[in-house]
Amino acid sequence: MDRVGDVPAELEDPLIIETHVEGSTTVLVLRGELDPHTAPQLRDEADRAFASGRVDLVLDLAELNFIDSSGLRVIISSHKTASERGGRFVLRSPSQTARRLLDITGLLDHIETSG
Amino acid sequence: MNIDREPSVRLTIPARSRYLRLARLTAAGIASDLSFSLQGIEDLRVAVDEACAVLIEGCDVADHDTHEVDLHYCIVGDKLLIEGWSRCGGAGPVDLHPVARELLEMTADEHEFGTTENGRSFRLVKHRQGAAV
Repeated sequence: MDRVGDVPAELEDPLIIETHVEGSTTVLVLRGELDPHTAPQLRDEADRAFASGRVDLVLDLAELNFIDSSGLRVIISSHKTASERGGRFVLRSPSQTARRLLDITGLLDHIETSG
Repeated sequence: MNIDREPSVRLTIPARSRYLRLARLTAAGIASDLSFSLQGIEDLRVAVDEACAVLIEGCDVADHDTHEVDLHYCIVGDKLLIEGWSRCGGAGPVDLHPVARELLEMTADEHEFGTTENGRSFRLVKHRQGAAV
């Protein structure tokens, strides 16, 4: 994320999560990096969404510039929770970095994506 | 592990996950200087992150303030060799999560883990492939 005159990318918050509610769907927009330090943040937000009674969850990954196995594991567990509750789980617009790891781990074959 | 064979960058980080980004950033910077492709740099960021996370996971949470991870980034020909050691007074054997194992196998050309009297260690190799984009 290059922004002239702004905080260098290396000094920004490692992960920012915006939450939007669209009917029965919670949309979590992720900006930054998903690693062992920040993955619990996403897990907490997903848990909060499910606890609110909304069963559909969309993760917008367009501005996710890093993800590792800890992030993938939260995605897997969130997908499982949504499925168990009869909800829909969607990965929206995964960034190139995210898409590649989702692809090589085979998750793209099992999780709905859009965009 | 012999660390004196080539010019190297040495980095010591606290054994806390919040400092993983420094390990990734350093790897990406060196790989960029070596004209790694963008894909190669991305792979290296993932591999270094996974390897360092294994070292940090092995450290006792209660003493994280004094636990550290030492990283040596060595340029060897057209490849980058990264070695790491945790210093946290010992750690159990490495038991990789299947997803972490899969990512390491896909992003690193070579990787191995070990244990030392002070913690865990790893050795990671990434070859330069293709021209920089």
